[in-house]
Amino acid sequence: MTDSPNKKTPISAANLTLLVGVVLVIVAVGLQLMRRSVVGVEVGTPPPPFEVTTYDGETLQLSDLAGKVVLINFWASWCIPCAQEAPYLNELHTDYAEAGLVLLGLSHSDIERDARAFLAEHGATYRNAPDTASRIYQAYGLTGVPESFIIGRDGNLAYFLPGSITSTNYSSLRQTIETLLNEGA
Amino acid sequence: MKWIYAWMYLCAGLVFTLTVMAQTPDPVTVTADDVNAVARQMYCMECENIPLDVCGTQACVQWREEIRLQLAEGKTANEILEYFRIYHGDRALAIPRSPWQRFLSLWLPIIGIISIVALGINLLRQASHPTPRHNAPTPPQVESPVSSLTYQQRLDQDLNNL
Repeated sequence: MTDSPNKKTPISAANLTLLVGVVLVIVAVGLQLMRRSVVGVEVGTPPPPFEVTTYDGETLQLSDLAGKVVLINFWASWCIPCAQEAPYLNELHTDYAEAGLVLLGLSHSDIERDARAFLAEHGATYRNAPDTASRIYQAYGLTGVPESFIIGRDGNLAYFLPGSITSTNYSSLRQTIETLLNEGA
Repeated sequence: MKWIYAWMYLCAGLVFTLTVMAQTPDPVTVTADDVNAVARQMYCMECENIPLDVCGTQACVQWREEIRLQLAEGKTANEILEYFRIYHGDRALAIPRSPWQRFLSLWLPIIGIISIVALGINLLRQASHPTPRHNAPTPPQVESPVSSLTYQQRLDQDLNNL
């Protein structure tokens, strides 16, 4: 009696276990990479809702600001570009608050004492709140600070600015805000 | 009379010293090692995979300062860790956020170790006892008349032949 050449060698239990282990590792790494590549928000779609308690103690939901143009700015006291863009944000608040722009600063990964000192140092008069446990940061798919989002009167995300507000992009940002304020006003 | 004045000055000095000592709160001395012992268990949001005690960013410096202040207030390491977990999320303590990732992070190393051990045992077994190929023709066993006999029978047989 001779061996059939097509007959396969069975896989041993140990080799099968190892194979399953390797597959699981690949799946875990793949899932992790997929999670990182997920973008939290897209322009033209409604951004994730949230609720925060500002440093002044006011509880605020994003839905409370429906019908207004909302500029959400993520910042941190330890972030140098955040300090550099602070005067621009103050100016936007001064110039457009009456026209219907709501500016909301969300501090990320910050110590409350340092965050308050930062706000006092830069004279921020608009609403600011801590992003407790970085929930909003995660939901919006941020990768760092500063980053800014502008939500239009229709409740959809209208503009996303990755990075800080600088003299280069400030005028176009103002133009975008003016356009959004005029829409449906 | 001089000794009476001396005693009065001494008593007044003692009372003053004791009063000052009673009013001054006992300061909690917090060393860098104390801070690092807590910071070692934490990670800031910005520096992935770098423990807080060795992270050099400004954010980490601020976090360590907060740990130092809380230790100086008399808080325990667990209380401080819990504060950071609530305020900055599970990630501050390097706990994966999703239950699925927690499951993977816990069980994957175990599965990996078991796989390696199982494979090692299997390879050792194969090396010491090479298994015959399946379905290979086995040579027919020819029973030798001598080998089938017990030692006693062979001895009897030899004695009879003498």
